[in-house]
Amino acid sequence: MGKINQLLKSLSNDSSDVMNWSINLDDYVLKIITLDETKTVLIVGSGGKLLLVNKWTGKTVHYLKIPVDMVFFAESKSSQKKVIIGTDKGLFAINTESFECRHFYKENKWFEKGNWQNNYFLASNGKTLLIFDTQNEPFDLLKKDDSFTSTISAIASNGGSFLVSNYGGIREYNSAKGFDNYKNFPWQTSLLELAWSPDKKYISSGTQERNIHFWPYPFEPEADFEMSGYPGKVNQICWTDDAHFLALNCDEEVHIWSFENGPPMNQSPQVLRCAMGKIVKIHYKNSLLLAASQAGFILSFMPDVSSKFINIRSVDGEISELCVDADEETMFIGTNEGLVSSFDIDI
Amino acid sequence: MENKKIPVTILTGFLGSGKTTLLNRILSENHGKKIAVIENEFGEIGIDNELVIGAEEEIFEMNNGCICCTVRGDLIRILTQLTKRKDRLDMIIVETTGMANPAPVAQTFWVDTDMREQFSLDAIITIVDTKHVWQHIDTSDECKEQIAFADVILLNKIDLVSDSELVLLETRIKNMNSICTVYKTKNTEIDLQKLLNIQAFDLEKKGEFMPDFLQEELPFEAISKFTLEKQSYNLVLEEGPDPTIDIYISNNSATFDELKSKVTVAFSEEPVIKNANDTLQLNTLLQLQLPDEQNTFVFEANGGDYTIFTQHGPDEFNMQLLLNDSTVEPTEVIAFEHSHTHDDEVGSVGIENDLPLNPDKFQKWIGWLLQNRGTDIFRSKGILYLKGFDERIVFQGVHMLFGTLPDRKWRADEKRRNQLIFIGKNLDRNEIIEGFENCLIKK
Repeated sequence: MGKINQLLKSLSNDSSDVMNWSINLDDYVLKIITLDETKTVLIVGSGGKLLLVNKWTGKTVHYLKIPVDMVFFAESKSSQKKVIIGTDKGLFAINTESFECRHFYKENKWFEKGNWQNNYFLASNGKTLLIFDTQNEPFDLLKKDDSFTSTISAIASNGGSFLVSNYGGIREYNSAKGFDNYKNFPWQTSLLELAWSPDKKYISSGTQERNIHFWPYPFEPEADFEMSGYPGKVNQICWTDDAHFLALNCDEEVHIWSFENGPPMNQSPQVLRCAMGKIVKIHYKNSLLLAASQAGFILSFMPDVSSKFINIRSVDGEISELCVDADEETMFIGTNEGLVSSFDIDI
Repeated sequence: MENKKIPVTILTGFLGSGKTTLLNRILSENHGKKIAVIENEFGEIGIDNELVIGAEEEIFEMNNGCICCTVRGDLIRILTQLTKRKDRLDMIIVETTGMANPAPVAQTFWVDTDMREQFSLDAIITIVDTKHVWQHIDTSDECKEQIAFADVILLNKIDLVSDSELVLLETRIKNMNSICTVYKTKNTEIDLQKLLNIQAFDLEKKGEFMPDFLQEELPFEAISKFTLEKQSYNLVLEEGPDPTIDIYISNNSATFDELKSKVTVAFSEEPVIKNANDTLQLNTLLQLQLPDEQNTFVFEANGGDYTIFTQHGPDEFNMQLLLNDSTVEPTEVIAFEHSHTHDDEVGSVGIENDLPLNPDKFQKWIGWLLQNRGTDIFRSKGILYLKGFDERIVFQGVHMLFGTLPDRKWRADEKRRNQLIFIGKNLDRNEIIEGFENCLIKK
């Protein structure tokens, strides 16, 4: 870390009252999920350590180590009080109240992607897609589809529809019509995470080739467009709830594109310059944008007021996860060394 | 915040060459390292407590429009997942399928920013089945490329071939890739320190950088040494790439260096024509006529040490010395790189120079060279002495894609110099050397 960053870090950490609590999971912090009903926070480590802590105090409520080598995702569904975890040994369901853990699908493969909507949970390992009905326990495996020709790269959902992407393109499944049929939209490039705009008008994906690709939805031939020229791959795409703005990471900057009046053709993005390490996580909701950098800084912006940051926090280590609670008063930061810290959001 | 890169070893070799045997050894040996193995042949290998991940083929071209710039998307995804761990891996081994071109795997480490920041390509290791490689080496582009790409080649299953076959194979391989380090193994038994974390870009570590590819051009490609009794021997040669071969037999026990000048001069003289069943005389340039599938010549030995200098590699004509129909094995075969080989012109160009490089000029030149000749340049690597830098600059490339990174500082007692190698087909040695020399800052 550069000397300036070190100095900034010591300055930003000087006022100890900004940090509510800090704990060490002793595992790479893969995911932090706030469970507002129980006022707890679930911390998921990539090595299989799960910690449920009190949101206000950080005090441990439950601890569990699931018998896996690697965890790839954790997807929650508050109405069912459950979190599904994808691992190298299959799929686990955790009850967020009792912390009861059930290994409901066992297979020694990497379950890297998962998405939960309504009563359906879609998970993938390699080229295989599994579709579960989660209405009742035990979850019912409805379909195991191994017709994909390359590894499934992302699963997204919106309003009863699921999108599943791979190197060959994007498939759209509609849960109301069953999972035997799908619409296929061919696309030959390596897609990263898919992000569906909340108004369901656009599907966006960062690609391996340093651009963001967009498809207006429903799919139409040759209606897609892209924003190119990025210095590296874009792997953080964050739509605002009203779908008016889309924020994405671009090295040490955050770019915000306006979709208020349709695709921003011939326009430039609003650029938020952070200059404190590569941006690895973005949160953008209502008027607040938080950008977390690999170097351990969290910068707060109000993009509709200014492109300059209004607050800064820092943690020791490389940030791996950023989570904000529903009332947007507290943020939780995880690092790859296992540190989890809670800060009030002061703006 | 330490960010030491994880070294990555790429393991290639045809099916059955011994890759899985070597992997099993690497993973089961008590070395205390945490190693992840990524393999793209389906069917995981049964090793407990270690990571063995099945990857699937997903090779795509980069958007620079070049057909030789390809990357493996699945590999990037897997490596990205592996970085999300608290217990850091010490090493990663990527095993490629038997028929795979290693280029897309190697290029992945330069194209993707995250990969470049977190991983470093340590070495490409190719395992060669010495018994069966002959079935592929002339006909398979994949086989040639696996040899050309390699930093280290294991000539495996040496217990299944004769010493002379082994020497011939090594000669052939060195003609294609002069800078690779060759080890001979049975059942891939080798000290793992010779394979893992070896920083193969560092040509200096080989200690034999210069002799391999700056050697003088000789009129003969090989010498075969024999210790013979006072007997009548048959020298048998099969049909080869040429209808004749020039040879010179010496019974002088002098060293090669002492004989070299004399024989070089002899090779410039008019040869004596020899037909089948003729007797071959000593210390004379002979041109053997080879019209038949098998051509036999008589050689009367008086006993002692003999050396046969041959215009071409003896393997090209399956040359054998027979005594009463039994093969007499040579005591030593030495091969010399020749200006023209018939391995589809797969070869190497090496550069060594003590003058500093102008960084801007070098960047422009190497960019131009790899842009325009990158399809044919399989591999390029070396250490650069750039003006204005206190560190050695590591240079590595596969086809058009390359990367430069500062390495350790030059030591005070160390001679600063550039060492580069280009391995590929149809390389224009003069063009490469001239272009490089134009980047030097001449005092």
